[in-house]
Amino acid sequence: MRSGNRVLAAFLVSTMTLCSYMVANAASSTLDKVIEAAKKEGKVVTYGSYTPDEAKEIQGTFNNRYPFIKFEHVTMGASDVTNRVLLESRSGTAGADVAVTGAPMAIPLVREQFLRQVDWASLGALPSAIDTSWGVTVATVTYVLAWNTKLVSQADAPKNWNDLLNPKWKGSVGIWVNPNPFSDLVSAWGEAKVTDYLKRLMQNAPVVMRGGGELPARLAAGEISVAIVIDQTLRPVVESGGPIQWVWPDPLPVERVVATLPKLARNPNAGMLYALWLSSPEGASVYEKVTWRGNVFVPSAPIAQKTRGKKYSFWPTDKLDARAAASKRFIPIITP
Amino acid sequence: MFLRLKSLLPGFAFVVLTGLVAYLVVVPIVLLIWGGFKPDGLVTSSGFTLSNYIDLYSMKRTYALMLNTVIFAAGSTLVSTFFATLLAWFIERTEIPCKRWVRTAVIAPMAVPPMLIAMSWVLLGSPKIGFFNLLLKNIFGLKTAPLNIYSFPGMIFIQGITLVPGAFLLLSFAFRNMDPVFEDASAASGRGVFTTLHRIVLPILRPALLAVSILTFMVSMAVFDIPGIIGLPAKIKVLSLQIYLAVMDPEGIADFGTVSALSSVFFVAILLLSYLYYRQTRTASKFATITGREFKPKMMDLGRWRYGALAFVGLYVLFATGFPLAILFWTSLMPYYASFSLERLHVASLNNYRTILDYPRVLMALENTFIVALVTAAAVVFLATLVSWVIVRSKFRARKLLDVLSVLPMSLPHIMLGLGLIYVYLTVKIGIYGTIWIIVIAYVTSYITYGTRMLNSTMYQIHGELEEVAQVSGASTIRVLRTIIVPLMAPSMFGLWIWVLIGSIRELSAALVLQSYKSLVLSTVLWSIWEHGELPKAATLGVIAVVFLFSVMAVGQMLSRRFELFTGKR
Repeated sequence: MRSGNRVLAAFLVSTMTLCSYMVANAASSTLDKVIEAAKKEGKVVTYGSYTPDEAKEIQGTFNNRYPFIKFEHVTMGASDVTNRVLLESRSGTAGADVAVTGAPMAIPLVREQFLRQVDWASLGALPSAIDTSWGVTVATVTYVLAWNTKLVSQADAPKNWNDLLNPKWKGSVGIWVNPNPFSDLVSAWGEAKVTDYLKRLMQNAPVVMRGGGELPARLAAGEISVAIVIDQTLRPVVESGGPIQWVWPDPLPVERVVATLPKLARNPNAGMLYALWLSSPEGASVYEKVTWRGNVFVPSAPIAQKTRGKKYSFWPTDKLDARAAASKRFIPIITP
Repeated sequence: MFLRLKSLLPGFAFVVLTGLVAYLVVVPIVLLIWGGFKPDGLVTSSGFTLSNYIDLYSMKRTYALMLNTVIFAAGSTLVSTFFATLLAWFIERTEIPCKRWVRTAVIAPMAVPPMLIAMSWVLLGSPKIGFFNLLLKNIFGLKTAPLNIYSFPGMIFIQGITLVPGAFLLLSFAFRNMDPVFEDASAASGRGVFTTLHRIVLPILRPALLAVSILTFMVSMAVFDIPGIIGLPAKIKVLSLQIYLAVMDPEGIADFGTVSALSSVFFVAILLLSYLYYRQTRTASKFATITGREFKPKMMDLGRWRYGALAFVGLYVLFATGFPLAILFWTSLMPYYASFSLERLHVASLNNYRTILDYPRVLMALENTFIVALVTAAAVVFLATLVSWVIVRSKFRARKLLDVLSVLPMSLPHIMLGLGLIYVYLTVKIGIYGTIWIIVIAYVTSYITYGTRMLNSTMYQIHGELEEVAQVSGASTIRVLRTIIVPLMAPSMFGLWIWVLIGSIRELSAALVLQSYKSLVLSTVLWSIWEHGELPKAATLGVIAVVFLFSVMAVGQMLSRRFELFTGKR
C-alpha cells in the first residue's frame, strides 16, 4: 500500500511537471510567433499619459530585449486616449497600436468592440495581470494621504481615512475634483459608507483642485497641509527635495491601468509584445522606477511589497459600469 | 466679354471668401450643435435625443451657473477695458515718457500661458502663501491675510488684467488712427483733458471699444484657467468650469452631449452681442477719423495730471506685469513650486533652463510651433483684412452673413473645435490628420474672430472718400486694397500679427486634442510637463516665451521706426 501511494505521488508530480512544461512551452511557442511577426512590423505607436522622457526610458529598456521595435509615443490624458481611439476607430483610421489608459476609461471602446480580445494567458502573461481579454494590467493607480512636512509633524500626520475628518484639518485638506479615489473605495466599503464619509469630509471644507501635478505642487508650497493624491504625482516634487511624506491608507483604492490593442492597429503583434512586456515583472519594475506608477498585482513590484497587508479596493473589470454610476453620484457632493 | 467677366470678379471673390470662412467656421459649429442631439454627444453616433438640453436647462443650478458666468465675464470685461483704455490713451495720445518700454511691458504677459499666470497669482495673492499677504502681515503685524484671490472679486480682477494685453493692442491702434482735430477743437473750447477723453475720444472710438468689450466678455466666458485654478478651490463655478467637469466624466468618454448643450449658451451670447455691435456701428462714417487730410497724432500735455498718469501706468506695470513675471521667473529657478522667501535663495539655480532643451523632441516641438505660429498669423491677417474690408466697405447684401460667420468661432470651446476637425479630416481623408496643418486650421478658425473685430475697428476709422477718390480715378479694387487700405491698416495688421503669433504659441486645448507624434508643439510639451507636476520646468518655458515676445516687440519697434508703422504718420 505504501509503495502504491509513493507511485501515485510520483505519477501526480511528474504529470503536473509535464503539464506545466507543456503550458509554458505552448505559451513560449505562441509568444515566439508573436515575436517573429513583431520583427516584420518593426514599429509601435503608443498613446498614454507617460511623458516623452519617461517613454524614452521605458521603451529603451524594452529595446534591450527587443531591439527591432521602434516607437512613436503620443502623450495624452486617459480620456483623450479614449476619445482619439474612438473617433479613429469609427472612421476606420488606424492610429495607436497600444492605447494605455485607466480600465474605466476603456469601457466606451469595449462597448463598441473596438479593442482586440487576446488570450493573454496563452502568451504567458501573469495571471494577476489578466482581468479581461480586452486589456492587460500594466500598472495601477493608487492613492496616498500626503502631508507637508514643514507644516505637519510625523506624529500629527493623518495615517488613515478617518484622520482627515478631524476638525484640525478644516480648510487644509486638498482633494481632487475627480471622485475616483472614492469610487474605488466603494468596492471595500460599499457605496453608503463612502457617501457618508465623503459628506463628512466635505464638512471639513477641503480645498478642491484639479489633479495632475497641481495638487502636489500646492501641497509642497504649503497652500494646503495634507492631501489625497495619486502617489505617482508626488514624484517630481519629492525627487526635487519637496517637503512631502505620505502613507498608503487602508483600504487602498486601486484602479487598473491597462494596455489595450485597438482592432485597427497597423502593428498588432508589436503592440501585443509591448503590452505583454509592460505587464511582466520586468516591465512593471521599469515602469514603476521611471513613473512611480507601480503594479500592485505584480507580487515582486516594489509597490506591492510596500502595500502588503493593505486591503486593495478595486472594481472587477466587468463591473466598471457600476463604478461610473457611483462616480456620477459623488460628483455633486464634491462640487455642488 | 472681358469687361463682363471683370465686373463679375468682385462677386466671385466674395463668394469664394464667404465659402472659405463658412467652411472653417460652419463645419465645427454644426458638429457642435448636432452633437448636442446625440446620446453621447458625438455626431458619428446613432440616435437622436433632446435629453442633453432638457436635462441641463431644467436644472435650477444651470441658471445659477449662467448668472455666475455673466457676473464673472462682465466684471472681467470692465476691469480689462478700463485699464486697456486708459493705458492705450496714455501711451498713444499723451506725453508720458518711456512709451516703448511701457508698451512692451503691458503686452508681455500675453506670452505666458494663462495657467502659469494663474499659478503665479496664487504665489502672490493666496491668503496662506501669497507674497503680498505675507509682506503686509509682516509690515503691519496683521493676524489674517488682507487679500484673498479665492473670491469673486479676486477672480474677476486677475482674469481682467490677463485680458488687458489683447484689449490694449486693439485699442492702441484705434487711438493712433485718430485725427487730433477733434481733441484740438475740444481743447480750444476750454475742455479739460479728461472731459475731452470722456466726451470726444471715447464716443469716436465706439466700434473699437465695443469690439474689445465683446471679445473680452466672450473670452472671459470661455477660458478655463482662472476658474479652474482659482475658482475651483474658491467653490465659484462658472460655465467653463462646468464644461471641464463634463469633459472629465468618469464614464471614460467626455460627456460631449452636456458640453454641446452648455456651449449653446456661448452661441446665443455671441449672436446677441454681434447684433448689438452691428446696431451700434452700422453708420460707419460717423466713426471715420482717417481722411484724405494728412495728420500726425498730437501728444496731449497732461499738465498737473502728468504725475498721476505716470503713477497709474507705473503701478499697473508693476502689479500686472512686474510681479507676476518676477514670480514666474522665481518659480523657474526653484526645484519645486514654492512661495518667495529669502531663505530659499540658496536653492535657486538655472538647472531648469539647462535641462529643458534635453526634454525629448523639444526641438521638434519648437520647429513645429514656429511654423504653425507664422503660418497662422499670416493666414489670419490675410483673411481678416479681406473679411473686414468686405464687411465694412462693400455693398454686398450678404456681407452681414460674413460678419456673423466671422464671430461664431468665439462660441466654440477649443476642445470641441479640435474634435470637430478630427471628425472632418478622418472623414475627408486629404492627408492632414495627424499633421501640423490640422492644428493651423484649428488656430485660424479660432483667431478669425479677434482678427476681424480688430481690423473692423480700424476699417471704420478710414473714411470711404479715400477709396472713392481712387476708384473714380480708375483704380481697380485690388489696387485700392494694395495702395490705400493695406498701408493705412498696416499698424493694426502688424498688431494683429503679433497677437496671433503669440496666441498660437501658447494655445493649448485644440493642440492637445489634435496632436500626434509628428505634430508636437510647445504648448503640448508644456502641458505634459505641467500635468507631470514639474511646475518649475513649465515656468521655464513661460519665461522663454516672454523673452521671445520681448525680442519680437524689439524687432517690431525697429521696423516701426523704419516704416513708420507705429507713428501713425499718414
